[in-house]
Amino acid sequence: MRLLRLRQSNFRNLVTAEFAPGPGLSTLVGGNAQGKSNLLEAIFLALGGELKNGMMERVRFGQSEARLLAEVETTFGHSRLETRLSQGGREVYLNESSASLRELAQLPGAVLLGPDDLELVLGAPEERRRFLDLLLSRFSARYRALLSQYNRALQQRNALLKMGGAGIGVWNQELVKYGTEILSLRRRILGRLKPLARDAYSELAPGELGLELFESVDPEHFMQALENGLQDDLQRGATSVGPHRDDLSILLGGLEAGKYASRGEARSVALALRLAEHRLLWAHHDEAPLLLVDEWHTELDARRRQALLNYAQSLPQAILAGLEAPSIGRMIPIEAGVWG
Amino acid sequence: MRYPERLLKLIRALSGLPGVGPKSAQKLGLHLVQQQEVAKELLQALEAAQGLHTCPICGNLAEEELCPICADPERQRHIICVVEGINDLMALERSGEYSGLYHVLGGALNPLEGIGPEQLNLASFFKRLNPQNREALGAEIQEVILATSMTVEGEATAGYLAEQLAQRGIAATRLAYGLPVGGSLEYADEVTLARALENRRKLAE
Repeated sequence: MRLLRLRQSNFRNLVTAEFAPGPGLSTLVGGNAQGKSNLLEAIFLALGGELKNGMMERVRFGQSEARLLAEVETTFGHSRLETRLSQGGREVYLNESSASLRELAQLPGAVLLGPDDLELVLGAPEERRRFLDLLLSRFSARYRALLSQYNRALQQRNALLKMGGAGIGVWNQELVKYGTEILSLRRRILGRLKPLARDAYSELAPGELGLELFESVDPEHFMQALENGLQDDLQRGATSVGPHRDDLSILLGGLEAGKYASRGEARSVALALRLAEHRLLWAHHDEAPLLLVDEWHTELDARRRQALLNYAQSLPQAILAGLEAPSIGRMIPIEAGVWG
Repeated sequence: MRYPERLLKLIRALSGLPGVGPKSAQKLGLHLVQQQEVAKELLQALEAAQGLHTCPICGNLAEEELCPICADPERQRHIICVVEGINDLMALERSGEYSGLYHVLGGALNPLEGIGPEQLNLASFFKRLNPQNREALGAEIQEVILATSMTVEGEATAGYLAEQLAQRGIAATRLAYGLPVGGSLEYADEVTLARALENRRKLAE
C-alpha cells in the first residue's frame, strides 16, 4: 500500500497542507519539536492506525476539528481515507462514505515505530496486552468484537462485586464465553508472530528473542478459577483472573527482557516486535503496509541502523524521521510544521 | 429576548423526551403555543393515555384489566416469549409469526446501572411458571423463548433465565442469530458469519 498524498488541516503544529512522499524511502529531517513526529502520527491515523490518548489533544489549539485526507494506492486501486478528529472523538470515511476502523482494517494500513515502543519491553503488562490486542484487531473483526464484549462483561461483573456479588454466576458465564475465544485467538497469533520476531531480532543483534503468553488462567479452567477466586475478588472489587490480566513474556536468551536487557537491547527488542508486526500484516494482506519510523537513528548502533535501513529500503514505501538523514533515499527538511 | 417562563417550562419538559434535543424542543414548544388546535388535541390524547397501565400478568400495556394479548382466547397459552421492552414485543408482533404469550422484563440485568433481578418484572414471571397457577392462566407453561437482545447484558439476562427455567424443568429456547434475510454472504461481516456458522442447522431430510 502506498500513500500518494496526505492533506491535513489543524493537526497539531503542522502548517503545510499537503504531503506527497513519493515511492521508496523518504526521511523527514529537522530539529526537535519541528513537527516530524506529528506528521508521522497524522499519516498513521489517516491510514486507520490506533493510538493512545485523546483525539482532541491532536487538534490545533483553539480549533474545533482536525482533518486528515489520505489518498492511497493498493492492489485494488485508489482509495480516499478521511479522518476527522474533534471533541466527539474520531470519525472515519472510506471513499466519501462513513466507515469504521474495522472496515479500514481491511487495508494493509501502516505500522508506526517510535521511541515509545520501548514501553513494550520495559513498561507494564498493559502495554504488551495492548500491542497484541491492537494487532489481533487488525486481523480479525471477530476479535475486535469479542474484546469489546469481554470488557463490557468485565465492567458489569466488577460493578456487581462492589454490590456484594449476588447472582454473579451469569456474569462468570459471559466472561468465560468471550474470554475463552480471546485466549485461543491470542495463542494462534502468537504462534505466527514468534518466528517472525525471532528472525527480525537475529538480523539486528546477536541473541535469541523468545515470546511466550503469560496467561493468568488456563482457558479450560477459567470458570473454576472465577468461582474459586470469588472471595478475593469481592474484597478487591475487581476480577483477578482472565485475559485482562495476561501478559506477553519477552525473553532474551531465556531471561526476561524487561528486567535483564540493557537499554540498547531493549530498543532492539522493541524494534524487532514492530518489524515482526509489519511482516505479519504484509503476509496477511499480501501487500506491505506503509512503514513509518520515528527517530530512526536513536539508540541504535551502526549495525542495527543498517539492518533497519536495509529492510525499509526493500519496501515499496517507507518514511523515516530524525535529526539526520541516512545516505540513501530522499530527504525532506521540516521546520516549524513546514516542509518542502 | 428570552422565552416567556411558561413556554420555557414546556420546552424543558419536551427536551427530556427520547430523541428530542434542545433545538427540536424549542421548535415543538413554539409550534404548540401557536397552534392551539394541535395543543388541545395533544392534551386530550395525553390525558387519555394516563388511563393505560401495565398488564399484571405480562407487563405489556393494557387498557382493560389485562393486555389484549393475555386477554385473547386465540393465543397459545403454553408458550411465553420473554422480551426486554414493549418495543421488542411490537416488533415480534409485526412479524405475524408468533401466536403465544409474552413477558416484558422492563430492561436487562445491568449491575453498572444497579439493575439486578429484583429490578426486573420477574415476580409475576415466576408466578406464571408455577404449575399451581395453571388453572388461572389457562395452561401449564411448556416452553419459554428467550428473546432478550444480543448485547452482553441481554445475553447475561438470557443466561440467568435459562438457569431459572432449568431448575423448574421448563424448556428454554433462544432466538437464532445469523445472516439477515435477503443478505448475500459476501457482504455479511465476519462476526455475523461466525455466529451463523456456529448456529448452523441440519436441513430436513
